[in-house]
Amino acid sequence: MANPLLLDIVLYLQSVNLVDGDGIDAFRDFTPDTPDQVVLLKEYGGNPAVPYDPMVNRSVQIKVRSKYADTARVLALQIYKALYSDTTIVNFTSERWGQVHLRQPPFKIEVDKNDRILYGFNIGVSTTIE
Amino acid sequence: MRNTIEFEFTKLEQKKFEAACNIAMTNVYRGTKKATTAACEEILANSLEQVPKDTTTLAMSAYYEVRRRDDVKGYVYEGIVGYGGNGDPINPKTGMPASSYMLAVHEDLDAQHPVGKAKFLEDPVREYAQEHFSRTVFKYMKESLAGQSL
Repeated sequence: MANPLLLDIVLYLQSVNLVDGDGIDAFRDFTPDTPDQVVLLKEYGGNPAVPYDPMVNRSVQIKVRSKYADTARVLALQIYKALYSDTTIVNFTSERWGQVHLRQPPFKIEVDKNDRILYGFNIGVSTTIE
Repeated sequence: MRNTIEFEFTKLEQKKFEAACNIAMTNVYRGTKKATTAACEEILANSLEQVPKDTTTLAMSAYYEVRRRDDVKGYVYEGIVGYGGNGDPINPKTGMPASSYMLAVHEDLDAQHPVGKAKFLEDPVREYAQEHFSRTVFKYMKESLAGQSL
């Protein structure tokens, strides 16, 4: 069975040196209390599948949390740019590629109860189901 | 070898034809505004079903607006559906205006709400675009051109 999509995105971000690794500073469908600086990826509602089409349109939210607003903002922007392609095609790993629709540029979402700032954005990814 | 076809119209017939075209275009423009308004109302209604409700402050701040774009040629209407409007009501529990926390609530996929959920605006918009947009266009185009004979 293929890797989960969120794991493939983490591996891709690791390959371009934007995160250290899954469960280290990048977390999937989970928000840890520590460390302060993390990249959070969560999948949410996509579109219905289309018969005979192996590709489905999935939705992923990417958030960056940091004690420092500019750190969160800059890293979110770097991740946004890493997911941008003129053709919209991103090769996450050797086994998964996807068409990435950047739904909006990174924006400030909130300051959490520990005064850490979160910036984030959402993407649509047309790719296969695992 | 060459064939030709000639059409003859009287000036009166030409004027009638132009008038009918102008009426059709005006009806389509009006239909565009109606369609945009209908889309906004439908999206807002679905969004209000999904918005988290505790004090209903966020729900009370929901609004839609339809306006004609003046930066493009022709009759182009733009619909905006959002929160943080209607005077940006204040949450009686926190003392904060809806606009100050609406983004956080919309993007918090971890939160468990007794009523409502995150993505209460994005999901209805995307669902509408995917499943209902073409129905709205067809309905109002058909209505706009009903009885037209060119």
